[in-house]
Amino acid sequence: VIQLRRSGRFWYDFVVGDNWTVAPGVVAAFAAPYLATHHGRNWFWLLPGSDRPCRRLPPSRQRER
Amino acid sequence: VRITVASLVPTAWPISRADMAPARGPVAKRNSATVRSTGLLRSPDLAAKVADVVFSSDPGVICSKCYTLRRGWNVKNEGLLLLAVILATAIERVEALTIVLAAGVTRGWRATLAGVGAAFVVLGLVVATFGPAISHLSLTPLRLVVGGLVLLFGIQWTRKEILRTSGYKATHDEDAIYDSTRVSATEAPRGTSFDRYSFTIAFKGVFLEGLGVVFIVLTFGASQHQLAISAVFASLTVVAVAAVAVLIHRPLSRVPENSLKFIVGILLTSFGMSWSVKGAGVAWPGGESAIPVLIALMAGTSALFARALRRQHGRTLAPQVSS
Repeated sequence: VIQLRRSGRFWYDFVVGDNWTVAPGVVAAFAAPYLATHHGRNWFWLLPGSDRPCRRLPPSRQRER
Repeated sequence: VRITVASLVPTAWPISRADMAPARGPVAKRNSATVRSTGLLRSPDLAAKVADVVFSSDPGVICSKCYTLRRGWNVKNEGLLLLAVILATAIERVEALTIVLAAGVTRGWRATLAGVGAAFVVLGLVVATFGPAISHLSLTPLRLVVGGLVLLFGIQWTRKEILRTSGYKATHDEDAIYDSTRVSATEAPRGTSFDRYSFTIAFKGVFLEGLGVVFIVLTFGASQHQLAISAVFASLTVVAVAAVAVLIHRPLSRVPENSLKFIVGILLTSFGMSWSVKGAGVAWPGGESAIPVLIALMAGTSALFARALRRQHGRTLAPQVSS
């Protein structure tokens, strides 16, 4: 169980990193242009636009390790 | 180009009359012919394959084994991609090297080098196993998933470097890591014949730092169908870093790691963004030429964020301990 937890923790850190709010932000940023494309809109600008808040998170919310 | 592709497609894939339905889908201003031509095909997978050639300025070559269109060598973007692979490999190897040097100098080289060798064997097996498997996946879902992961990876790297540049996070200091690893290695108990501590610490250092490189090599290589070249350049970088370490026999603390990480983070974010949006079915204006524009955009906004945070930091918080 401990090994599984360690392994899970490692992969979580590897993929999600030290700030979990970035991952759902990225998923949401994909979903919007994907849905727009399927409704005939070419909203290529949506992802570069939504990337900025992901990187500009307030430092008080950073969890350091 | 469209006529050439249209003449090639029937030889590669059987297309039914249903696939040649009236044009549908989005029409971009600058790529109207391209987007319309992909809209002709009912199968999104087939459309993506055709679009891949239409977007490329180089002639497409059909790979008969996997029915995937391989694009010619696009010097500008492939060069940037290789730059990202080389820089990421160099950074991760420098970090691993510090741990290996500390363990080897303090406790002896036999078990340490055995740990390094074992880690390289495992990393090689990961590439050999997943590389061909990923290369045979369909390009559209591959770009969506891989692009998403690369984007996530890139944003995390860029965000950390913005925090380091602005003073909210301490910069990576190889000398400090070397000293602390040496202290831990000196205090750890010694075995009788084979030093398990040195083996484990060297294996973990090389494997964990190398996993990031393997991820980048696999994803970049698979998405651009340049897996072999990515792997060769990553291997050459590993050899170069190791050769420098053997020559100077101390941690490579003069390597501007934090600046290099910033560059790699921006490259990863830009490529990840480009692939994932393509995988979602969206057409970039200018096709492949959008990547340098994205890189410039990411670099510019990152510099602005770093500057704004540095000002904010000057007014409020003290630096924190680096991970």
